[in-house]
Amino acid sequence: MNVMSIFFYILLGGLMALAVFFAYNFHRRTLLDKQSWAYAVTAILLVAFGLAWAYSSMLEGEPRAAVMGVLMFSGTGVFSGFLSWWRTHPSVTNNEQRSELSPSNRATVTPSKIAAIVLLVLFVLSLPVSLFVKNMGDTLFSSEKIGELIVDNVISNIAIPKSIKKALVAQVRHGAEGFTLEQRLLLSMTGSVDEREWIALLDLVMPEKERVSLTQQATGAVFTWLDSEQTYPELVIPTGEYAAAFESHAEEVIPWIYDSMLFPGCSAEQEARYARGDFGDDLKVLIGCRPAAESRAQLIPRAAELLRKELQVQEIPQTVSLSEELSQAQLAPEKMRLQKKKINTLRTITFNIWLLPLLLLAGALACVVRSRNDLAAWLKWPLLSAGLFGVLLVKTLLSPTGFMAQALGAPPADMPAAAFAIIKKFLMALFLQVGEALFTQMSVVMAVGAVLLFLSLAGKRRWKENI
Amino acid sequence: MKNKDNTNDKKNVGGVDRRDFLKLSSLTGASALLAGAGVLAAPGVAKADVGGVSKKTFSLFRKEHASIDDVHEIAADYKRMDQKNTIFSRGVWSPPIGEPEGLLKSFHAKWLGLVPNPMDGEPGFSPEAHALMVASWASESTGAPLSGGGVRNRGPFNNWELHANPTAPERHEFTSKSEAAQIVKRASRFLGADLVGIAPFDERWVYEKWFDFKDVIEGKAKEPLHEDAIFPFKPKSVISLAFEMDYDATMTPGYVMDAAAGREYSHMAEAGHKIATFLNHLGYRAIPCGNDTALSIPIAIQAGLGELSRMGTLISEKYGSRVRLAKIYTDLEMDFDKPITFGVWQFCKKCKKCADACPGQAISLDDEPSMEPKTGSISSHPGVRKWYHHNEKCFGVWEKNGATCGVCLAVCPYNKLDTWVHAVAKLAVGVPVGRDFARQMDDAFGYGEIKPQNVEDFWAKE
Repeated sequence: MNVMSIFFYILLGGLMALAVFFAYNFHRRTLLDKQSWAYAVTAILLVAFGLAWAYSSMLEGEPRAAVMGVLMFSGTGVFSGFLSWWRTHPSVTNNEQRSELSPSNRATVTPSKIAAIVLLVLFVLSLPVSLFVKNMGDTLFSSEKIGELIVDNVISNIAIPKSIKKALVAQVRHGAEGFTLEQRLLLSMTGSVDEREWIALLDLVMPEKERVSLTQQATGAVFTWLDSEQTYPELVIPTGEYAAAFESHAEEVIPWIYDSMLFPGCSAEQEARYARGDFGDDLKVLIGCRPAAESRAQLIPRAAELLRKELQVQEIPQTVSLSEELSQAQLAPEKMRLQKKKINTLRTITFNIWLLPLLLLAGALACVVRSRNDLAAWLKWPLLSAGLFGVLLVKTLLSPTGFMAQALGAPPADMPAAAFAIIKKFLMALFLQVGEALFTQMSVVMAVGAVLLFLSLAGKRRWKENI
Repeated sequence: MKNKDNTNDKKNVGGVDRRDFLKLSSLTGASALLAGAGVLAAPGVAKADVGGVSKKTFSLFRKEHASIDDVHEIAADYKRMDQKNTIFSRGVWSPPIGEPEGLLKSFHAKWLGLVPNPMDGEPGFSPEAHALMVASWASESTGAPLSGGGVRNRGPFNNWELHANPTAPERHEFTSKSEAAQIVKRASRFLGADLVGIAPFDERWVYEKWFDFKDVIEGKAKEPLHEDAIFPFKPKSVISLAFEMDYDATMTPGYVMDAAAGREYSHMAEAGHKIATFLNHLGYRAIPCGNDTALSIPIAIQAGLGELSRMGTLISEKYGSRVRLAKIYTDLEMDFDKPITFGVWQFCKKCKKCADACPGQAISLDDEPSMEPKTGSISSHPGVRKWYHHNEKCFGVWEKNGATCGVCLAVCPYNKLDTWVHAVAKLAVGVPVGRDFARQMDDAFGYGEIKPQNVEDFWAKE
């Protein structure tokens, strides 16, 4: 035990002794019975235990355990102390006095007050949730905003290497079951490609400008579909162009593989064959090791030629039409129209849901508010509580380590792990953006509640002073 | 585009050629969990208080038992396990650990840095963490290579010819078996073991056949050695040793978690060699073993070091799940310790925290243990009532990480520091009603969370 701990426990012991002394004096004045004494002693022990637990937990590096210790043990202790104090209260010791002091004598409970309280509770719960849904809808159902979000977080030159990394990690974690050793090692090699190299490769095939343009076309197509009578979204992806770009840059792709992927150096035997001009016709062999610099001049054209052949064998279509793909995927026109209707209904709901808490609040206030003072009195706590609830909601649900991130843990069985990782990255960015907006909104609501509360307390004080 | 030619330098790890390193070291790394999981492991607090530090902590509910058969149901016709079927041995002959899937080779290639690990850059997968991991195994890799992977009698530390043939002119005679046990335990603790117990020699836990694949993975032989298990002398006692893993490292994701295990494999190689040398100098024969030769967990249970858990590992009273095990066979006769129980088995029935947390879903969620494995894996050896875990799924996580996994050990509610706070909690868990809500309390208090923040905390400590 170090000096700090010794000091802490001595201090705690001193505080306990002081508490016992205080309880003794207090209870002697109020002539307490044994039960109240038991409550008081239990309170002192539990509060001290909770504090000692918290201290020990902090030393251990477990802050949550410390907080829980205080809440659970010291909290129970405080409750026990309250019971001890309550038994000395005139309302318990003297029923006549209780009837005079009881707040229930000053305030009568009426059906309209009960209705107002119920509506206000619903308001407190629904305000953050409805604003969350509205913020989400504002982004998801705006072609411009969602496009920006996708570009900034998934496909821009800054974001795309991270997206690829996420996809790769997800593939390793969740999608490599049944892979052969060769496939596993290839996956590992892909892990060695750094951010600049990914961008260099993409610049050859599909530079950032084209990626952004395609994203805008895609989001535009979806919103046109939602707003029109079209059965399917109309989007044509020029896959042939991308394949042609890849083919035309084959001579650059091969050295990219040699420089970016950490394959081992070629064996002496292999180098000797290359020196004789014997390259063979197996692309895997040619790119499966890193040749010496002197072999590369002849090797690269040969490997590039084989790569082009491989691409031609793949028969990549010139264009891919989204509407054709969807119709071939057995998504009947009726089904698509139904989906569109559902999405549009959802869009309408998200745009208007913020009215719900306002209606609840208006209903509550209509039940009880008869003056300007009443308005302030009935607004302060609901606004403060709703704001606090909203802020907590953001912190627990929408933070990068919050509930949503946990809930998006592993990919569903029927979804490719890499695709899931990219969708998750996008959703987390969306939650973060929505969370930030909600945090600002709820902070404002909380601040308004706090101001009203402050004004109310200040008013009471002035009133007391006047009395 | 950057030039990556210098990356070849990475292949030389700590002055040891990469290939040699691959050959020598990291199979060992993988071992504790998986090797132990092959068969049994079981319960108790031994009374052995050696070196001034007892292996037991205060418990109202500890019970001693006469033998392991009183603690665990072991089939009357129990057959010894062939070491060929352990998960590491399968790396050279049986898929998916062996090819075509090649989980073992892929794991090793990443572990050694022979190929890039896609996990690099994730929390806990930094270059310094990788270096720490490799360094933590260094003594094992050099002194008792592949001992953690089950290879016996290799390297200067686990040298059977040396330790089984003592050169002392005559044997030291102890006044009693009790004195012999006391002296050996004291010496063992002094020489590096954290917990020590003495078990009788029980042939059931010795592999039916030993399997040595070291030369195969080094490319020196095409076929592994697969031979009958015959000791060079008749063992009379087995000294069971436990080594405490570092708490902070155990709670840190990635390579550091592996380093927590590796450090203890290095410790056990060193301590086993020293303790065997101690016995040799007294004129007794000894065979130091890591995960090789026999199953460590049932021996540790017999030696009173702890109880068997749902995840198939030993739970010690003092360090909980955070231990690695070794053993030394000797012809010195000593008093034996007794198996103990202190409520782990009953707690595991309700808790299931390890099974919920396991990234490979390799740990059984069954309420009750069974005599036969339901895993369909040849690495799950039947004949003992316990929770069988799925070795292939477990090793699959190692391959994905490129590092061993100890999530189950980390999240286990018994994995706590030895403080008064947890002593109080253990008392509560000792009573049946406490067990019912202990898991919920453990979660609510935030214990056992392997957070990315733990990486920074680990490196920030002095």
